[in-house]
Amino acid sequence: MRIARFVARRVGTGLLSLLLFLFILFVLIEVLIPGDVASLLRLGLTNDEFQDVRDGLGLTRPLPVRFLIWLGNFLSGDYATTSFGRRASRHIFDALPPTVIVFVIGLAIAYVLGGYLGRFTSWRPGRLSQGITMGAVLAYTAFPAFLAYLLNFFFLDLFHTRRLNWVGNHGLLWAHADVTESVVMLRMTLTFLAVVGFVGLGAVHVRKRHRLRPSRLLGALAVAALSVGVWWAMGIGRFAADILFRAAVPILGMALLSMGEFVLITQTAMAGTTGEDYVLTAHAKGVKPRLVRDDHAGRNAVLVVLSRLAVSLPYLLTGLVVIETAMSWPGLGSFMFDAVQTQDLPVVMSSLAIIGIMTLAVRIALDIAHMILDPRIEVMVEEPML
Amino acid sequence: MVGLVIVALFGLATLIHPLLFGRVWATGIYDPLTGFDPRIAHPSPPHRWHWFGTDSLGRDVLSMMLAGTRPTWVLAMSAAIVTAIVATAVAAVGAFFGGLTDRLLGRFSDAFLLIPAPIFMVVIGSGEFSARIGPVTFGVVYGILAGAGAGAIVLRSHALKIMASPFMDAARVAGGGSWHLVSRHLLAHLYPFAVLFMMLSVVGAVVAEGFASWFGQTATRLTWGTIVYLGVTFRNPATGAIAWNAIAPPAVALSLFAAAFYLMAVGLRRIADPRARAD
Repeated sequence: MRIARFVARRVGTGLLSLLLFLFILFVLIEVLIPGDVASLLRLGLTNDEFQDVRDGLGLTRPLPVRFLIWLGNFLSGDYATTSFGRRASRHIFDALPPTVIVFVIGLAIAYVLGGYLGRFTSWRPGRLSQGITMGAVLAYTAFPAFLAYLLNFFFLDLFHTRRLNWVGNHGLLWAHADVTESVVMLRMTLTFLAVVGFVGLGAVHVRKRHRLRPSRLLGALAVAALSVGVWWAMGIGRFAADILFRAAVPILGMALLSMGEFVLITQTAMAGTTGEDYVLTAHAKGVKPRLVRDDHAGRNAVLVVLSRLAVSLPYLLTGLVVIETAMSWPGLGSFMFDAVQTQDLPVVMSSLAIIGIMTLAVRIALDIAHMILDPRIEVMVEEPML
Repeated sequence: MVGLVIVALFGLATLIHPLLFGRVWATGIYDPLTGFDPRIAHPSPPHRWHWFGTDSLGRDVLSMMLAGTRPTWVLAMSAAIVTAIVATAVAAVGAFFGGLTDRLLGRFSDAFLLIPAPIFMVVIGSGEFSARIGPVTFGVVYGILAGAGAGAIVLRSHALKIMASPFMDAARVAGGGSWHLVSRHLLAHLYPFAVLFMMLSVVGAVVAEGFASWFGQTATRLTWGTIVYLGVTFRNPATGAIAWNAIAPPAVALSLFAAAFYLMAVGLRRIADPRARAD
């Protein structure tokens, strides 16, 4: 009940932010970018004819009216038409699954590894820890494009020239397939997310019912095994393997880009806990040092990492766009980049809006996770902003 | 400390380029935009004449990199200043007046937070506008996006803490007016956090600019991102390979520049936040 009220409230304020976001986006793009769609057709028109075209397209109406029309179209699923005459919504929905696969898996790897490194470095200061910290700072500020090219160069070279190709002939596989790549990716993503949710709920249940803390490694293994099993059962196993194989390098890039931040935040959040009373108490009780670090001192860092993640999501998404473009991964980033190149502003705007909605959805999910982890959060709900 | 040293080195690099250029370096060979060395084949690996080698068009990479330092400084400074002003203003107004004003401003910050600033910079940099986006414009737009979004949210939480502290009540009881309370007490305590966020904004702005110019949207000027973009676009004419010696130095310089500001921010936080100073 408490959770339901919290969720309802959070979604309500979220919708308000979303509306404001769409309006700001619309106004900024209208104001900052000179010319409009009509100027693409301008060649050879006199000024009067040009104005007629603008009138006909409704571009001379006042800004708020145009915003409402755009909003209406957007909400009814009309995400503009690309310059090649195809509906943008098709492309956008085709591009979502690849993006989600890379983003979710990459972020999960970064979260686990970065969290571990952060706990390690703050727990045991020394030369090694300083080195790791410096590496994390450099990873945090790294130039994504360069990193992407470097990884791409290194791994594709390794896979292709040294015959480390485990899946067999990629072209032959798809040539005889009765499904397309985007369909497979969509099914993969949906089943994967379902499996993650299932295992997550299972873990919560085990924890509540049996007072056991299931290990994170076990959970990850369960997710991997279940997903693979479901994919084979659905008959898309070989295609999924091929897609995952090609996704490996973008996922690695995503993990590397976001890991630095996780290390640094965990470290900051845990700084100074080594001398806290409850840590000393745990030591005195005879708890294993590793458990003191992870379960006593590191427990509080989880909340900080989650709330920081909400703020840095746009930054992470940007890194993802760069990686997708540099590695030609067919996700939302590449699609939007193509639209920018061909001056397809309506399509670009729809993509930006979709990215904003995704960000908001993840933020709400993070807030709910935060709430489950830290029951005190309800006090904070009374504040206008989380 | 490491951060300060690196920043000082980059400052030196900005100053040294006009000095080297034309005096030590022959203008025709080392010009960052039009230079060409007829003595060797391009792209060339590092050499006694060209410390970082040359790119596929025959230009000296070290000279290009040094020339790219100045726009980066201009961009970083304008972004930092605008971020600090916008974020402090939004946070102070919201926290001081509270109530509906605070709620509205909070929703606005939330909405700004949903805009992925670097991607947005690429979008507005496309087309006719790109020639007009100089480092200052870029810094200002980025500063507004970052300041009204993340900056305002972070500073607001600090401002609320300050508003709730006993000395604010004391000042109010002593008869201080609104302006006195805001300027003498609220802002004075917000400055350290604003400066801290300025440093982080520099990190974001520099990476965002590298990102936007890597997409070729600001290719009219020479920045680190542009050098990487050109290095990837114009490959070795014979083999089609990327000239790594041309794209590695600017990419590393960009990371180092941003990292230096991050390290300075960490050092500053120790001073600004007494709780972190304890360890």
